[in-house]
Amino acid sequence: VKLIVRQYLASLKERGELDTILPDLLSSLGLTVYSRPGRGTTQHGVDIAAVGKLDDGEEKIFLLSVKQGNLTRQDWNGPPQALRPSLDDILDVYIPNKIPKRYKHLKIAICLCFGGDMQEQVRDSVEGYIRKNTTSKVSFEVWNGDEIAGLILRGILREEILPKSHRSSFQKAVALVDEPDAAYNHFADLVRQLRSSMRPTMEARVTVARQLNICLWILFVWARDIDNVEAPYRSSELSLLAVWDLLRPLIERKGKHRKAIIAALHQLINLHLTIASEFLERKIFHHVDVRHGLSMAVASHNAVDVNLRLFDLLGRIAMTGLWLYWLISRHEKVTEQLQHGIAMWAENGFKLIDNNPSLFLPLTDDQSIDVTLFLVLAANTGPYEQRIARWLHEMVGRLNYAVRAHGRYPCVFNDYKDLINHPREKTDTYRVEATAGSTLVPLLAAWLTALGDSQALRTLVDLKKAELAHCTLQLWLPDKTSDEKLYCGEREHGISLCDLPLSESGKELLEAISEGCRMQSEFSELSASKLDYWPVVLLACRHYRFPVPPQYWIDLLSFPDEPNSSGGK
Amino acid sequence: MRDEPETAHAIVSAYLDKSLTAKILDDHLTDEDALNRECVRLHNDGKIDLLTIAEEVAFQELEGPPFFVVQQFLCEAIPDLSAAVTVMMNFVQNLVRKGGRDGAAGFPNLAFQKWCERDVARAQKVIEAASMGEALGADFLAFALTAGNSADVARNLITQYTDRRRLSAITALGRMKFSAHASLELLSFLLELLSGPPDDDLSAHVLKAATDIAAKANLVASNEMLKILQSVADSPGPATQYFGACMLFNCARDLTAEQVALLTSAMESVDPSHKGTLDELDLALMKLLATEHQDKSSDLVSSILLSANGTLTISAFDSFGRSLANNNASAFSRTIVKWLLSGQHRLCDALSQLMRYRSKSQQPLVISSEDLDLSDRELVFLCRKAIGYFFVQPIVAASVLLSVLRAHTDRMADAISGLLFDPLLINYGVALQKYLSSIEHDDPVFPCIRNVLERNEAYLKALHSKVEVKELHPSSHQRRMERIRLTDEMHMAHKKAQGKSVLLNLVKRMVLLHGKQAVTYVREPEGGHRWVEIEMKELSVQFEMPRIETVDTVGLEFLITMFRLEKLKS
Repeated sequence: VKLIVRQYLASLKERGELDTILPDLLSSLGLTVYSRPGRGTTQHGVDIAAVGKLDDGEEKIFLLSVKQGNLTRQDWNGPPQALRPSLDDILDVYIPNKIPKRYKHLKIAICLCFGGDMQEQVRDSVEGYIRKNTTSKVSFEVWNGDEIAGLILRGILREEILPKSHRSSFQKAVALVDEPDAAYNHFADLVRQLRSSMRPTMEARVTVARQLNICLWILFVWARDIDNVEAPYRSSELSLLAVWDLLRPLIERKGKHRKAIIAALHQLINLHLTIASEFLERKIFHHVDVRHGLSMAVASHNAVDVNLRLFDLLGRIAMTGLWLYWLISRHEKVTEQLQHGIAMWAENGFKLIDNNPSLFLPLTDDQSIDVTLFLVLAANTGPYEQRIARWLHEMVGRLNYAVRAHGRYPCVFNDYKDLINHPREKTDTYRVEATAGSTLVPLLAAWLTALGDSQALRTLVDLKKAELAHCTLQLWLPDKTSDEKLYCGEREHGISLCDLPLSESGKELLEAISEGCRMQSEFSELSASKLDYWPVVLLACRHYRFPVPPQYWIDLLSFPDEPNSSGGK
Repeated sequence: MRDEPETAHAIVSAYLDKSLTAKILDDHLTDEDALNRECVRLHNDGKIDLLTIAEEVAFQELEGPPFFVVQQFLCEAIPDLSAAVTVMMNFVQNLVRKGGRDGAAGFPNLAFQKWCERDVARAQKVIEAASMGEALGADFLAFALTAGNSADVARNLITQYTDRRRLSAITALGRMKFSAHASLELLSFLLELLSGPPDDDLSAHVLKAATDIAAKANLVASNEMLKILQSVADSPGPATQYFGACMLFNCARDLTAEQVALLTSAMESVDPSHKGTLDELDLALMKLLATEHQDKSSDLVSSILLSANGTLTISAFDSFGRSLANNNASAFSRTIVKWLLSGQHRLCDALSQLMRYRSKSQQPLVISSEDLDLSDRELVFLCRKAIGYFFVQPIVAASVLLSVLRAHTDRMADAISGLLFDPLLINYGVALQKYLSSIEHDDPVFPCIRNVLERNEAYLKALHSKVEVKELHPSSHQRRMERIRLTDEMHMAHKKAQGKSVLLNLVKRMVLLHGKQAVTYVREPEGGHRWVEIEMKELSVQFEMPRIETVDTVGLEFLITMFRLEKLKS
């Protein structure tokens, strides 16, 4: 495991990555972190400051100055951000002026932190510097990758809290990171094991959250090295939901753990967005303009693979965009730049749709989740009425054709084997089985009604009458047990809003949905709703494949008889 | 040679043992003529009764080729046999019935006719029996009249009766020989018979007889024939249609345009379930293609296909289709344009089947510029139909577009180049790219094609410059599942193809588990054996799947379906 951790530390390339895990590491070793890394503020050479005892048992102040990767001559004494100028700053400014009064009596250990190794050509200079500046009060410690890995294994991943069986799952997840399904399954095992073996204390919950954070970081960095972040992406969704579920009962309580809980959650949200950004911004958005580009990038001759991957991709874009929208909306002042930044996500989603026509018709009904997420993003960050209308209009045209021609119409199956054989038969009997229920049709009908596309709505109504009379139109709403079960993936909860009316005006449908939402007050009782962490519910829906509750979108739609009923509100 | 008394003895023994059928079957390959002569002699000497052979169990159990071996043997013998007229008629009638619907079933009737020719008194007895109203006599009346060349008798019978004796007499007239003058007079006589109320049987028999008479006297294009056709083509019944098809086949080269028009018009309402008529018509239309009336043939096929309401496909006219697609370039060109422009699914679908009849199915088509004197809207419609129906043969589809482009280079460049790129070239990047690249610089369409190729190159370049996105790849498990599905699908297709293979049902099948050649030995009749070496060769079939099938299955199907379904608005 140490090798895995060392390799992970050496691979932390981006600014801020090593800084992020070190506070948790120090906390897990029993130190009190009193200064955390922050951008844009003058730290006078100190990235992290903590107080406590380490190996020698003496209470000290630990002032960490952090550099990524190996320590080279350039990193030691080159630009102003190099290590030596930072150390000079600590000695000249920080120690005389910035140490909190209550710690002034303590000895100081200045820690030179870097994820990799110290290069030979710089060793003499560093040692010379340390010799020259060491005093009875101030000492220096070199925390290279090996040392930090040792600290991690003695601290946050120590055997008492991460026993061998847990480590085995973690090791397998890292070893198989290029086989995302397998890696994800092992990581999911780790999550399960950590939760089931957790002591019933608040500290234990926070520790598990931190462990998941560091394990996910390690998985992510390894995955990034081999250029395949699929496993950490999915694991990050799982971890975030697991941590929400862990912290949910405590998050409303006041006390010293609340800050730690919120911090742990936000670290995971940030890590999730870092991973999503690594995948989407670096690898996907450059290619959304290329016709069929990302469809071909699926590298499969089977259209099912293309369809499944692209809808999943659209869902990820939407989900990440919604997280950013949520983050921005928490700012008091939403600048135009921020607004533009968020609109870029919907914009890229539309480009993805335009250039990859597989996205004009889902293959399985549960892809309505990804469609809904994207609609919610686009409607919130628009104006995109026309592009939404064009997308949904085309979708209805294709749905109508595919169902009537027994082509690849959206089916209720989710099993891959069923999907690659769909349609197994071009018979009415099979089609009845494959289209037993639908969340997609009412979703489309509701949005088309609001968008005023009466032609597409009529097509949908005719199709329902002629070929889908047997199909149960439905939407899903959380019930009072959902908050306990939704975030850990349990299936047995929620209410299906069934037999939704479909007519050419669409008004009855919107009314039925609105009424259904009004009647089910449990939605607002969800912990994520109450605490205004609404993307958590959407993430749970995406990850565990629950239809997005209509409460997230019904208020975005205008009723047909409303004066401004040309689209979303 | 066998010893004659010995042969006779063997025949008599077989006759007495009721195994004459078996003897005929055993000996027909070696000494059939001698056996036949001896049987006739023994029959006429009263030592055997060859006409009782039908009572043998072995004869009654005969089916298929063995029956026709025996039937042929008996047909050879019949003209020389001595027998009472009624006995012979019964025997021949049984023989014909046992032949069923096979084309050779009627041969015994001709043998009977020859039998009558040997002794005209026999014919006379048949005519008398028929005149007396005996059913059996009526059955053989036509052959008896023909044998006696009794035109006057036939005409009397025609005038005298209105039942099937009249029809037999009409048939007999058609089989007799006349001078040109007499033939003309007979045609007028036959025409008069049609003056009454419509009667399909009568019309059919008159048409058949008139055709036979006219053909022999070189009077097909005569005014009398035209009048007969005008009379029968008005509301033809199935029998008339059958003989109409026969006339088209037999007289294709001699018919006038007006006669062809009448005949083809009469055939338009042919019942799709009348396979005999359709088979005859198929051959007739194939012959008509070689005449100046070739367009009438494809017009007739289109009418029949459209009125058949889907119960008939172009495969009912496969002789016509193969000839049209391979040997009649100009007629094929006109048919393609006409049928595609019609927008009728059945005709366009028939065209796509006709493309498969071509000996080189991927060879480009050449549509004459004269056939493409159409409006812009019609030309685009034609091109979209060609894509819709010939999509799986992209070179064929593209060649239609190129023909349009050659005929109207300036007018159609934008529209055609758009369609050539998408959906054709974007789907078929190998064979079609090669075909389009082979267009010569001096071809007027070259600049347009160069643009299309450049556009495709840019499209492919953008695709191929993509970095690998491992996150999007299917998992190993999914790839494995897909491989299993594909293997199962191929296995099923292979088994289905094997089940349909005529060859595999005829040969012994060996499966080699190892090695690349087989050595086996074949036993010789003399007892020895010889080694046979068979070296295995690779046999493979290649076809290009449309690229967009993977990235936009529903969209591609939808587009092609739209191209197929759309109609040309007036």
